[in-house]
Amino acid sequence: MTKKTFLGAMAVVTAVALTGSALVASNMGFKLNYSLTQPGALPVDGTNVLALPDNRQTGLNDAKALMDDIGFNNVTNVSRYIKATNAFQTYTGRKNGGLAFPLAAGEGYYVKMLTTTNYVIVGSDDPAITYNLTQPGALPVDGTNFFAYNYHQTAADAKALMDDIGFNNVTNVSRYIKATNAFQTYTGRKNGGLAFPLVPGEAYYVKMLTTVNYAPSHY
Amino acid sequence: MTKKIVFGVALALVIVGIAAPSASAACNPPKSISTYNSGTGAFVYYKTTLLDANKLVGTVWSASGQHAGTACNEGPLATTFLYFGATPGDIGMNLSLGDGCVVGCPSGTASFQITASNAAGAVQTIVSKVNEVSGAVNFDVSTQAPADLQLGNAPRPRATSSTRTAPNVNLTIGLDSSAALYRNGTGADITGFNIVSASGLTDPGPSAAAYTLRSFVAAPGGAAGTGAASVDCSNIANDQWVAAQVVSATGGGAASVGPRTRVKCDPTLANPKYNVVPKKGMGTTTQN
Repeated sequence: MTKKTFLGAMAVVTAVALTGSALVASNMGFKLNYSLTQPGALPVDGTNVLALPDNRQTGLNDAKALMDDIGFNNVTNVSRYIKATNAFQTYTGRKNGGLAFPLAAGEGYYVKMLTTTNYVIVGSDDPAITYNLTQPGALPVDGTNFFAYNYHQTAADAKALMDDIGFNNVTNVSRYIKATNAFQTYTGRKNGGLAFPLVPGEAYYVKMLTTVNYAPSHY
Repeated sequence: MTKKIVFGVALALVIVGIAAPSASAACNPPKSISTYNSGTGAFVYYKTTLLDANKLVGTVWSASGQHAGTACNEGPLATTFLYFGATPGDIGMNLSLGDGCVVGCPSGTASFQITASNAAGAVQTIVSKVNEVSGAVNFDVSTQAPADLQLGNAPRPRATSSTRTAPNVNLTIGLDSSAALYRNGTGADITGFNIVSASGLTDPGPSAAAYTLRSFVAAPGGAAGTGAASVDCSNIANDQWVAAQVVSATGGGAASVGPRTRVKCDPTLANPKYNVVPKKGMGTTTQN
């Protein structure tokens, strides 16, 4: 399905939503213009975080499809975080560039850009889905989860997200800041930083203390 | 291995290097060092007897180099990762190693120096280290024993002699042992002290960024040491403030310096001939 077709389908879904009461906002389709930016003056190196919807457009199933959908020549690579190794798997789409790993609902991704692209994210979130946010295990598993923030989620900042997951189950939430090529972390505890706002399209690190099957509160 | 295979392996390594997701300046995903563990509820404070301490400076390093130094204490990237507790003398620490001020990422073990100072120029410090663990805090200071949290007096350079070679004042310097301040085996990583100086009418304070390197005094493990340093007194309107900056083999110079020794630059004050106490000649008697 092309984006055009998909958007058409979404319009139908929206119309159904307006005429009936079976559908709720959380599983309506959405379209999001999300800017994936290229390298600039150091330390800006073209790294972007990306949260895709639970229900992605048809065919958007792996790292290669994501690069193609953004525009292959505009993208240097796509990476996913692997909890078991506390490290990353990266796909470049070029020779010796790794395997095109599958995309999964709830996972955040890094997209390293070569050329700035306004990426149109389309799809819908699944209000019934739960995300398995897992606690620390034996090293190197330290409770870090790279979470794809939902478009229809009610939690608007880092504190609200921690509260929605269960504050005592969460150690901290971090966001990536392009300008510094580093992270801002919020713990909710003393000297624990500011509760930064959450932005649809962005993925966040959620470091867990206790495993939670998280069903986000949504509109 | 043939050249072709070597080239292939090298190419793969290059691609992996290029492909590694960034936030290259810091830990990705972020790690943390803290005196409070939200998982266990345990917390500790570093302790200083400087109850009027008004400035804290911290340095973090590991075998892979210094991670949190001047940038985490001074300037636009500075983060308040050290803080005073409610009780005077208590010092807490909470640092996200994903912060923009952090360089690289410690793995396995992290060492850190905590320095507290007051307006009068007194400085207390401690150097300690913790191993990386899996849990709410990656480098969990809350497990440290009280003796590993108690700051002590940082060494002050003692000018044991001086000469003047205009415009410099040349100092012979002694440093007392501070070995007891290097806890948990961190002494093995301490190579000595940079002797640094800064010009000014007032004490420049404890931040190493304010000083210029003059010399290095070898003092393995923080043992007593001696050395020399020349300070520039071409501007006699100012004085020179001389301090010792602890140096580790892996982390380099710390972000803080110890207490300062003031060197008067005005030759009318520094020239020894004005400070000589005249000896009385043999047979001189005191007249009543």
